[in-house]
Amino acid sequence: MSAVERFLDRYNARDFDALSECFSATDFHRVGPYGDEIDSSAEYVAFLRDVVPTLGASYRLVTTRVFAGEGGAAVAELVEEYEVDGELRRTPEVIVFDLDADGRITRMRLYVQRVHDLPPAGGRAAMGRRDRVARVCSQRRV
Amino acid sequence: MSTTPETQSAEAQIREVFRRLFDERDLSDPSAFWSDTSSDAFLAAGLTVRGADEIAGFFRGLFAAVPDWKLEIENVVDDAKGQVVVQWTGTGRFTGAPFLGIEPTGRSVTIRGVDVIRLDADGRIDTNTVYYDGAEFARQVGLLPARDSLADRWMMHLFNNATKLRRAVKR
Repeated sequence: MSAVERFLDRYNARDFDALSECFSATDFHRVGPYGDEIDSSAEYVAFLRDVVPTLGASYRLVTTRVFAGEGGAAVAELVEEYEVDGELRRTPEVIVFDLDADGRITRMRLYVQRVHDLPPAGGRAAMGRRDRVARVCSQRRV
Repeated sequence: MSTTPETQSAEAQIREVFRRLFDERDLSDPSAFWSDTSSDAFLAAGLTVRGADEIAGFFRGLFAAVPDWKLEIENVVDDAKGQVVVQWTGTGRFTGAPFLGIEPTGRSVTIRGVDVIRLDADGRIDTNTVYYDGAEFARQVGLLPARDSLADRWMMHLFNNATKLRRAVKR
């Protein structure tokens, strides 16, 4: 099983302790779908631990395809499935990963393909700390 | 195409396609980039464009709508088996022709996205699925209110009330 498949497997199993082992503890950077950024794998796992259980039993990442690139890069094409009022919603997305020599994830960049304007799974809380700071600064300028 | 696929990596081939398409806007010979069976899926726009001529037409429309459209490649992932992923940021001002049924608003847009591309045996784009945040694009061109604006908060408020109402009716 590749590092990315292991990540997806543990994510869908909601096994956050095992999931944390997929990431580099010392070198991690995640750019979310809104350009929101998280610089610590511990912070990212804590975020998932808080948010994922609130998304309902049907929430999962369905893999379309995973492939490895040269130089420790990998790509997952996915569909994020979640239920709202009994209706299954599907959001296609791509995650581009960088892996270190031990196969641990050091970089994640997420790209969603929202057609509608509903918040993503995880709601607006899905936005990282740096993004919130930027928004507060922006509001103060106004 | 003018490149030699058998001697160039897929990354080099796709960088050349992007250079000619976005830097030079060279759409004089669409068959250099796509075949008649190629497809580009812009799912966020609800649009799949098929065949070299139609795909070229899509890009002519984009360049007419956003005359200063600039696409910067951030990274390319090449699996050495004909699959290439291009991470990019596109910027420009919507000052030209209507696009996808939207009248030009004059607003600037900055969109990050990714193209998931499979090349054919001739080094042309066989399939491309384009991922970008359609809602964010709509916000930036002014089709939707800016995030966290008063109008945005009201829209969210109305949406949540409608959801609660539907839930109550179901009960």
